[in-house]
Amino acid sequence: MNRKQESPLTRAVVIFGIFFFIALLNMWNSGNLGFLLKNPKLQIFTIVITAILLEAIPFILIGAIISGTIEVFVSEEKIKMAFPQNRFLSAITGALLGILFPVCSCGNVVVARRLLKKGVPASGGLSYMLASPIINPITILSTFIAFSYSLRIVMGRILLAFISAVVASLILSTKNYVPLKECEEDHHIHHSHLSKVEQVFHHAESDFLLMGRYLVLGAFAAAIFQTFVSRQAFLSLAGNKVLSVFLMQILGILLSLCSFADAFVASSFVHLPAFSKIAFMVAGPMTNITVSILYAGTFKKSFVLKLILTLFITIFILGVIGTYITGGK
Amino acid sequence: MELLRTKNFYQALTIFIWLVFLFIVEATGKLQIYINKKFFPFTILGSFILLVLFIVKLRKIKKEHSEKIDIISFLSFLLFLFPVLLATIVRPGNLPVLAAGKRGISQEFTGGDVMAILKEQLEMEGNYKKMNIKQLLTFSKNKPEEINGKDVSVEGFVYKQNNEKQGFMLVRFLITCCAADATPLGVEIVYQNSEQLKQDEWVKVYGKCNIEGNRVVILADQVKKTQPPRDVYLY
Repeated sequence: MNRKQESPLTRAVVIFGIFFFIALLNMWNSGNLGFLLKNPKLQIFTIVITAILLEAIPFILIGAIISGTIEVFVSEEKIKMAFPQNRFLSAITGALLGILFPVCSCGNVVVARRLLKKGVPASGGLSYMLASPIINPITILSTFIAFSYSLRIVMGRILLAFISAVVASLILSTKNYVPLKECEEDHHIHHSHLSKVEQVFHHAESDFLLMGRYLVLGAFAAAIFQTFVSRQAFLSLAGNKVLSVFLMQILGILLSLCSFADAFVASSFVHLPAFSKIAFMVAGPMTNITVSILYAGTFKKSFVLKLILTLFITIFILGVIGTYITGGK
Repeated sequence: MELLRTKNFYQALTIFIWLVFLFIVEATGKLQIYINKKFFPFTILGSFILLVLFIVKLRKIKKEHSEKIDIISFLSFLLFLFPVLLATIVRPGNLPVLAAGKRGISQEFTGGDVMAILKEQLEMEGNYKKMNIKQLLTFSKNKPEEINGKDVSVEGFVYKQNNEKQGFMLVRFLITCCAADATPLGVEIVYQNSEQLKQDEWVKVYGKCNIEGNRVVILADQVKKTQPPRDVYLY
């Protein structure tokens, strides 16, 4: 780096150093920093962005450790043998794998990326990434509890998630290929002088730093929505059954809730048809802002757009069919 | 000084800042503003993993020559730093009442377990049975006869939508995972002197429980101002 490039960077470091120093001073002084900091919108924004990160970062880290372990200890041959090579069967296997490995959507993208890099059939890796945040014991149990043990809602959610994940992964993996983004860090881990365990942590660190920044961006966008948009005003637009499925899908995308928790929020929309709530609980974990930005860190942009669009249309069609079959109840 | 210009330095600093931040929110009890207590072990596990990553990173810095920082890596460092700075400067308290309005208050709750509540020995405060809003809404949905006409005491914060004079909504946030999913649960309170109460003020209501349709309404005998409880959220 020459001096011309270095100087703005140094200045930026100094400016941020000053900000950080002010922040530390504020931590020590027990008074308040004034009216601005007490602004309720700033408070909500800060609580929501920090809450999403504090909840998701441990799962990203767990996902990163699993991913590093797979990279170092599991050979490509073994991974390939675990999945059927037939595209359709592989998609089904992937969609059901979450029953054995219940990782929520943030941690899951890291693991799916590693599986795809290791040569898992594209349809299997994709359907695992999409379905496992929903089709896993923790999410199934929380949905049961949130909806007073309603088998109809739980089965509806599992079915909608399963079909959407399998359909989207089959459509998007026609040549058994998904365009993964090249990660610079992956090329910089030299293994010669490191023990296997150290290698696991180096891969985990690289995954955490890569996906973590996308997570921060996603949490930022979700917190903006939660701060400035009223859920009630949003849902008051849901005039008919079709519109209610559409709007609940959008709401699921914008709220960016964890799949372990979204059923409790969905159950509070008591007057909406069951399938619009199910669409909310499927579209959310598969396509919400936070997860979509994590996808953008994993795959090429055009692929992410296709993925989101395919999922959105599939979930919408299935949601509307479900609503009409159940008579909009 | 050379070290300050390397990528490894900023990556180690990112890990260190988040490690310290997690430690501070855990040690100061601030974590409960953000996430459900059930998830605390995961945060502790996260801190432990960060600590290991930090140690491994330090060893790497010692062993390897690191390349110089590029603009993308520096921006990534700032991105990681932003939420930590924000939380440190703003130092948020509990979710403000504005969040209840934005999210819409639920007066029905389907996720409760009546049998579990019945097994609990609910405390008495004089003649009033001490209950929380989640328990009240669970009963009203599943076993309304258990609470209809009974004297109860319940606490929460005041929410007035249109500055009502004859009553207010008593609200608590229910959290499943984190504050992003906080759902405001509310019970309608009929109270003659409600104009004396301020928005967002924590109160304890003593009164008779009435089931009207599917909703719980409490006819208040007394409303006492109180401090927020140690657990401000319901889980």
